[in-house]
Amino acid sequence: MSVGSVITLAGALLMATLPAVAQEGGPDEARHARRLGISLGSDAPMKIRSDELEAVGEGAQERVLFLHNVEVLQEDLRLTCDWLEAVYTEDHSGGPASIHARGTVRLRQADTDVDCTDLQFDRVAGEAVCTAGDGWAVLRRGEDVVEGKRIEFDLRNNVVRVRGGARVRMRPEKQTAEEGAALPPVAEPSP
Amino acid sequence: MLPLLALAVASCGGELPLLSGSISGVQAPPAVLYGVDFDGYRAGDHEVEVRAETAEVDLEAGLARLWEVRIRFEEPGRGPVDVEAQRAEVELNSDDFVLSGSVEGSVGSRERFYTSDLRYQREAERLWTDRPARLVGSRTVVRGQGLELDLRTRRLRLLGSVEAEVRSEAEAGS
Repeated sequence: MSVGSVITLAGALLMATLPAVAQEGGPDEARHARRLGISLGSDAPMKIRSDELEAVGEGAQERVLFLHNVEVLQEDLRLTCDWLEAVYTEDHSGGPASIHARGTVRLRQADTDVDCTDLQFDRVAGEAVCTAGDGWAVLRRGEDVVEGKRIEFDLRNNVVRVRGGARVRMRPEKQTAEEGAALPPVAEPSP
Repeated sequence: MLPLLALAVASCGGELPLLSGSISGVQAPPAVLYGVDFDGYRAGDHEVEVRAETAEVDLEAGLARLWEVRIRFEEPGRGPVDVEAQRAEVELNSDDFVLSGSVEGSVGSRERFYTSDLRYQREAERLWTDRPARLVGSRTVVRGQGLELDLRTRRLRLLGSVEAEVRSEAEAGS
């Protein structure tokens, strides 16, 4: 069991995925990252609360499950879900091979939210996938919204793919003296 | 004779008369054994090895009381489950036991658990407590209001208001 590694990796996942969405939004990457990005110190102390924990080690694979009313807190970030699983293979040194959150999954930091019902992170492949069953996975900050049946985060290449009728709504930021001209709205992706 | 008691007798050879409980209607006092090392007995699929600094076998009460106890559950192809405690009370009829006083244990080698009382049910092959329990790793402390370990599946559960705290690498190193 490596509960600590679960949590550390969950933090790294959040840090890596959310800016990736922003960076695809337009040429001004830094600015977009500020609009949608979430910053997270992945080594900061963290708490996880749940009703139950199960740990099972069998052969080369171990699983740690947090069950019912799961809440992950790190600095100002909060992840809630009903079920959080980490799977470890033989080499534990780098943390779990995969993390899976299910139920009503919500990530929140400051005014940024991600909502879905299933979040799977494959560390080996460097990919994370958010889905919501028959509904929509949603990334929201203020009035900016990205929705899709399936939101895929390619963590290695900082690319996000929104599949299944992607919908993007972004409102121009209010202009400030330092920032110069306002950003144009982000166009909806082609099907 | 039950396995644990049989082993106790076997371990202590010449003290067998003391363990017979009653001789000619005179009640014998409980037998007190020192440096007890039970080679092991079988519980389900597990070999159970019990060691204690001191043991008191009370046939009248059907109990063996052990102090400074170390118990190991072993099964071929799996790592051991180790448990230590200040005291243990073994029901001789069932071989169920209750550990108390600074109970700590491990499943494999990665993290250790701590609690104040821990029960073993031989029939169900499980260890459990409804007392507060902690699971401690190098950077992590997980607390729960109860703990259950299924020895067949090696499934460890922390129950009731589980809270995990993870220290930063800097904190863990200090």
